[in-house]
Amino acid sequence: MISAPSVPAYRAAFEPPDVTHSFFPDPIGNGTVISSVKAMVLLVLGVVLIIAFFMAASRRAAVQPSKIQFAGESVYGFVRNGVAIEILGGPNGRKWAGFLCTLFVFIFVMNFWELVPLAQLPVTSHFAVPAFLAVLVWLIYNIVGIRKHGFFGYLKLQTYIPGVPWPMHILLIPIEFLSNIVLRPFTLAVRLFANMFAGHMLVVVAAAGTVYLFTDWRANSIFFVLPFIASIGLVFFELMICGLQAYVFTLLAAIYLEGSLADSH
Amino acid sequence: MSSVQYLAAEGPQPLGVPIGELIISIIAFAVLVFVLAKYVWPMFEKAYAARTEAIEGGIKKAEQAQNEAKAALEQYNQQLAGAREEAAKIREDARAQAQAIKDDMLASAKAEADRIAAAGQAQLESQRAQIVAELRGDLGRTSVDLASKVVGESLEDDALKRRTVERFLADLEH
Repeated sequence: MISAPSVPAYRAAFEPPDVTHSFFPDPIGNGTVISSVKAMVLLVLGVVLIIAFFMAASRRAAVQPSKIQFAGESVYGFVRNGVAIEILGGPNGRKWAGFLCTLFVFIFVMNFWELVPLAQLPVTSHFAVPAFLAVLVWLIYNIVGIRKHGFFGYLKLQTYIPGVPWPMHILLIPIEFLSNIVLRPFTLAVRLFANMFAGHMLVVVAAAGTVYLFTDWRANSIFFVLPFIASIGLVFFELMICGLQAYVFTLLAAIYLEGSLADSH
Repeated sequence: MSSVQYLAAEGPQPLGVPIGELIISIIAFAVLVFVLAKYVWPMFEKAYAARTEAIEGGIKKAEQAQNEAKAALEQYNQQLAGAREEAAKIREDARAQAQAIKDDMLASAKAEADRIAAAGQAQLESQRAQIVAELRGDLGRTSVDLASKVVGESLEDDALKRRTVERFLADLEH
């Protein structure tokens, strides 16, 4: 911080917001069971709100939709047509559209808590949530693939690339196995978690900097405008990230499913 | 709290997976998947299907209307052609009829003329015959009178008188 070298005695140095305060403000005990009650309340509240919204939207499935039905249908139609049917094709797409849309809406709302005043904590920055979702997707696409192709048929589908000179398989089969079977849940979980964790950290740092400089009451207080503008910009940036990460997670889940349902590599 | 202190501290770790959070996430997500799959997505699919059907039904109805209009046009055209044909026939008939009437009239006029001419001829003939008869009678009587005056011969005898007249007439005719 700009004012750091000349901090007077009466003024405490800028203390960057720490992880515990930002993400685990209210653990139960030492936090090994529940690391933040607030995050869990937001999680449950988010699920309740999603259900309430979609129940209201689908109460009368009219040919001419009301405003709320149109909103609900738009969300469902976006994932159903833009992700599920686009990636998985007609019959499989319709079959998986509901799950993929649930995944998308759940992740988006859990991300979006980051930007809701008073909540301001992305539930997906708690690693348990993206880890669970990633493992769920991993289980689903592997089980679907094994049920369709059999265990060895599925392994061959995921690791064996046809039309390659045979010595290359010594190299390629382990790489394909690693990238398609082993690493996918980690990349899925870490991508979502890290984006939300870092994004929230960015906004918190900018906001804390604004408050620190604004309450400095000296000439350099005027510099509070810089982190202030940054925090406003970051909120919009985070809004984009919330939607983008939910979309990416859903899209990758659909692509992995498609890989398992495909007839050949 | 410095980062060294933080790492040393017993407490929540960013990459930790607290078992309670995991369980709550699983339950919440399972409930969400179940409720939405049971009550929401089928309703949306139903609305989509109803809408598609409404649009396709509309298209079908429009197609039907178009076909009906086409059939009506065809029928109308057929009727028009029929009417034209009929009009032509009527005109043709009228012309033929007019011709027949004209011919009839011409024939009857000719017949009438012939009849009048024939009647005139007959009348003329009969008048001539009458005149000839009358003349013959007169001439005979006059001739006999004249001759009796000249000859003094009595021609009282009818037979003789007739013979004489006839001879005279025969001479007259030659």
